[in-house]
Amino acid sequence: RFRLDPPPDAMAASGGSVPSSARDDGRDAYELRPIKCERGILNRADGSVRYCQGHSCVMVAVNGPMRVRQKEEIIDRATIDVVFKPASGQQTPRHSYYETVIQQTMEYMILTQAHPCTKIAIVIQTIEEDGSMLACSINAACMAVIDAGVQSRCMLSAVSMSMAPREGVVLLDPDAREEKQSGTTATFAICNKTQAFVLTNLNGRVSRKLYSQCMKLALKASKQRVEPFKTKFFDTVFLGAEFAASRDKKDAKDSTK
Amino acid sequence: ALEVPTRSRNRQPMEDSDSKAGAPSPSGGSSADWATRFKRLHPKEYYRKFVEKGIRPDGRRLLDVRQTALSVGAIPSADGSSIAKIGNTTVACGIKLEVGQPSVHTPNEGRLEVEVKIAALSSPQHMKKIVDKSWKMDKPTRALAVAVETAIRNTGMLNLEELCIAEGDSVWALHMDIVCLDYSGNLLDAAILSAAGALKSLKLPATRILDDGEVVMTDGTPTPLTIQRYPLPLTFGIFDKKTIFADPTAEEEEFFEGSITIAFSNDGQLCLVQKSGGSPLSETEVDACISNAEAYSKKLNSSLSLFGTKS
Repeated sequence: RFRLDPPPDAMAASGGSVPSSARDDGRDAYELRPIKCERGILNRADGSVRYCQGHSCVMVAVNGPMRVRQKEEIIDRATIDVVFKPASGQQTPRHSYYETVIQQTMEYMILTQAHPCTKIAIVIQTIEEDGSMLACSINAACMAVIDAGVQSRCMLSAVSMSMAPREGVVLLDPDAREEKQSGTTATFAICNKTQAFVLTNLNGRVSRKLYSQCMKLALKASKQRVEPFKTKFFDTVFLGAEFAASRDKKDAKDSTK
Repeated sequence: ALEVPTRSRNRQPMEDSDSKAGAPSPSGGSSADWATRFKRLHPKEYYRKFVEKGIRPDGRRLLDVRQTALSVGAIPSADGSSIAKIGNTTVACGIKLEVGQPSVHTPNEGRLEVEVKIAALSSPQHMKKIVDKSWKMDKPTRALAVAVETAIRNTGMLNLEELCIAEGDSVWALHMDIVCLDYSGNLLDAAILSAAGALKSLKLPATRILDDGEVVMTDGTPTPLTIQRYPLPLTFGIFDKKTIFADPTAEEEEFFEGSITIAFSNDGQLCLVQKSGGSPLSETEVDACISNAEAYSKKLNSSLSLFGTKS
């Protein structure tokens, strides 16, 4: 289970109560939904990943470095083009905003100066929307970029949370119902090398103190739960590939004997 | 600003360079000319030389903000308007009212639609847009519009239920157009301030509903919106991963490595902490920015007295 243990002392000390009752799906307040990830699902894309946080499911395809139109090319860096498509309905300005935000975040993660005059296209297709969509998309895009083998500076982990400002209660990784109920949500994306924030996004009003606690919680959640998942995921991929390669070499050697 | 190279004045033979005011420089000519060339060739190094001493090329300290002014109700033909200036950055905001139908999910709420346009005359970089005559926003501009709308929505400045005329039938739709007339950096702060000012100056006309459901405007006194909270923003730029400076100018925006915008509402609550990409900031650095933004928001609130109780 993706529980943070021990629960952060900061919350209890400040007087914000840790809710004793479980949430709708039986989670604790500081528990993330189970993460499921599949890679290599689209065979035409350089990198593709299907990433699910609970019921929030997102499919990301990454292509690149590829040819770029002269209008969009940058002479010393790669252009990053993000398309965010909702599960249903038309694209609204909010989705364009997500595109811009994810693009700027990916611009930090990807070593764009290694591929000048090219484009790295990231297409994010939402399959199921159940809250924390921005965090889910950033996590998925990060995985897909690594799957595509694009040189990156670091790995990003995104966490979102919903706050009830009056009670000082923070719920980690809210689903759609919890997000709507609280009306105040925050998303953070953290770089695993520097443990610093690359993206912060706030919807709603909070006090400064509560926001500081949210930042601490985000750092903790990403370090304890999201990053290990991602590193373990790719470790199995790379180790598996290495094992297969060494086995092939051994077979080749055996067959020549 | 485009600088006209003054070559004839500074083409001096080497012997005369000592006689001119200012230290002799390696390439000949006055030190001011040398500084200009250095700035053109190595803008980041030039900037670093100032930041080492804790100031910036325009004389401000790292956390100083340029002079901010807000003029509310500046455009009489719009239903609500204001012009905000931060240094030279000038942003005008106009609101036009329209009677519209509410959405099915929120039958008693009006609408706010924000559109941002960076006018072609605002800066040399934007002049290339003179070819594109339509008002359609491109992606970064659309993101700016959403950011302004988020700041307004997060503070709860606009009570959408106040815009209801007849539940389920007619509501006021506010079409907010934000136009940047002079782009000298820090567009987001100026846009948020001008949007807040325009909402303050907005007065909803008195209406009467006819038998067939049509809404006509009567001669009654127009009612202003009840506004209790409004956003007070401050944008910081990040340079060399560690240096954080407030209110970037257009020149600084060209080479900074990221920015973070923090807005407090006038009752001391955080309502916008937006950092998209760019150099990452540790928790203590974000906290420091929030402290500075909080102090600045109090100063801004008291100086922009038009938001005070007397108005």
